[in-house]
Amino acid sequence: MIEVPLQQSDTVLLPERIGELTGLDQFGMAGELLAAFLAAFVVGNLMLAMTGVAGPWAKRKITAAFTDRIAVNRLGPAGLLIIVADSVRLLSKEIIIPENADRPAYDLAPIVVASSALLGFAVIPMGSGIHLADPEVGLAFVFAVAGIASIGLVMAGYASANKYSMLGGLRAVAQNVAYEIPLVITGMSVVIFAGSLRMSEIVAVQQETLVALGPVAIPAWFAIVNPFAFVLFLLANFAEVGRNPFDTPEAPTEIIAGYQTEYSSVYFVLIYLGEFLHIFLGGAIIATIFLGGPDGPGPESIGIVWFLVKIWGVFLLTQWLRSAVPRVRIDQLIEIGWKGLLVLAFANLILTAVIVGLIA
Amino acid sequence: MNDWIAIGALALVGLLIPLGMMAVSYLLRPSVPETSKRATYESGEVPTGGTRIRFNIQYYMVALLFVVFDIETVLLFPWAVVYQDALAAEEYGLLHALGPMLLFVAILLVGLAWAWRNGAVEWAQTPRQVDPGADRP
Repeated sequence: MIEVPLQQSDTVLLPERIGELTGLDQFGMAGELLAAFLAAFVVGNLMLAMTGVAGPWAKRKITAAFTDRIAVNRLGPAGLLIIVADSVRLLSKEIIIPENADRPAYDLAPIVVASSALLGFAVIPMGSGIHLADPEVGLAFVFAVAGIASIGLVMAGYASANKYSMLGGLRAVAQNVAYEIPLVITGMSVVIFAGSLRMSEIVAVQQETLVALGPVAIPAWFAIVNPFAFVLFLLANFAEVGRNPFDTPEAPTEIIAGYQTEYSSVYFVLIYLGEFLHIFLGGAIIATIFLGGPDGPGPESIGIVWFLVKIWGVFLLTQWLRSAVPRVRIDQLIEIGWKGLLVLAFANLILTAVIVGLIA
Repeated sequence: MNDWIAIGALALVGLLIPLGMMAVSYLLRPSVPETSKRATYESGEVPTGGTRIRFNIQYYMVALLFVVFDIETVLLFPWAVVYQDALAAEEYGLLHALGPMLLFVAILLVGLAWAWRNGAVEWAQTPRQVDPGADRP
């Protein structure tokens, strides 16, 4: 038997830090709960603010730049205040609920989509001490929580009682079913290197120097150690979050807007936010397990900057693909997933295991 | 500090934010009920027929395969975590650490190959799609 001792991580997490700063840690259990709540509030709103910027503003700006247009530029510097205008506009829209809607499910779906994506950020180490929780099962937790969103999409698709929504919801499932396995199996090849599911340890392993070229030390980021796995993971991730070339569940030219066809007002905002949170969660997972998390040149205290740069890099990539790559058909999508990515993911896992075994 | 307290706190925050937004929207939005405003959207046409009918979802077999492989990933995670420790341990060699996992994956890959040969990992075609001219005069 190999003993793997269960241990608390030795990194200082955000709730503890807040507990110390505000003196809440002296009040026992109640103080602990309050500090955790405050920390969660900080993390949640940080991510929401980022998606708030990305949704109404960055997406327009980026798409406009790719298609040679001028995007929002009237309100505030570079049109940034459009975010405020948009949120007021969207929240004050009349809500139109289709007459055949399946009520509790129809109302719950937007909440499920938005909150499941937000929950995934709990275990992501964002650098500069912004790290909410560091459980033993970090990576598995993130995959599990990100998977909940597809339930929300099915609920939205079924409860709307609209044919396009139904098709969109079913397509979302087909896609998640096809790409979840390659995603997790590829993530597992990182676990083989790191020897732990704990996010802080996966990040710590990547901070070692792989090769030193004179003054430049190349870190052992898993994207550099195993670029094949990185590409596989990126592809599977785009399918998982439903972005081009795998955006068939929404496919505006085929099925209107898929599962969100019948959603308006605040419900639409929540589903839209949930999707952006999901893109950023995917970016955060990629940054953490392949790009060294908050690792980067400079002092450790600016880790959050590097982390955000990496997440926005992945976001920029999704938007570039949105402008540049055509959508694959739903039947092609199934075949790419099961006949291509799944086999490659297993090949990657076995090769990684063999190479690690031979080196060790 | 227990990690799961913090995760539970974020779950709570993740519920409160959408609920808060819904509350704000409830206070702001108008309500103008009109006839047939709530009709199901079908590109502006009068909707025909219901949505909850029986139809071929076309990836039934794939969904079954997914269950098998999903359980496999769950069983492989503990192996991936202890793999390096097992290699370093005296009593296990490469063969003992890697062999069983290879066998386990191989069994499932044989299953996948069988399903592939039988056309289960494809978008199932309804008979009419296979032969477009079948029901035309």
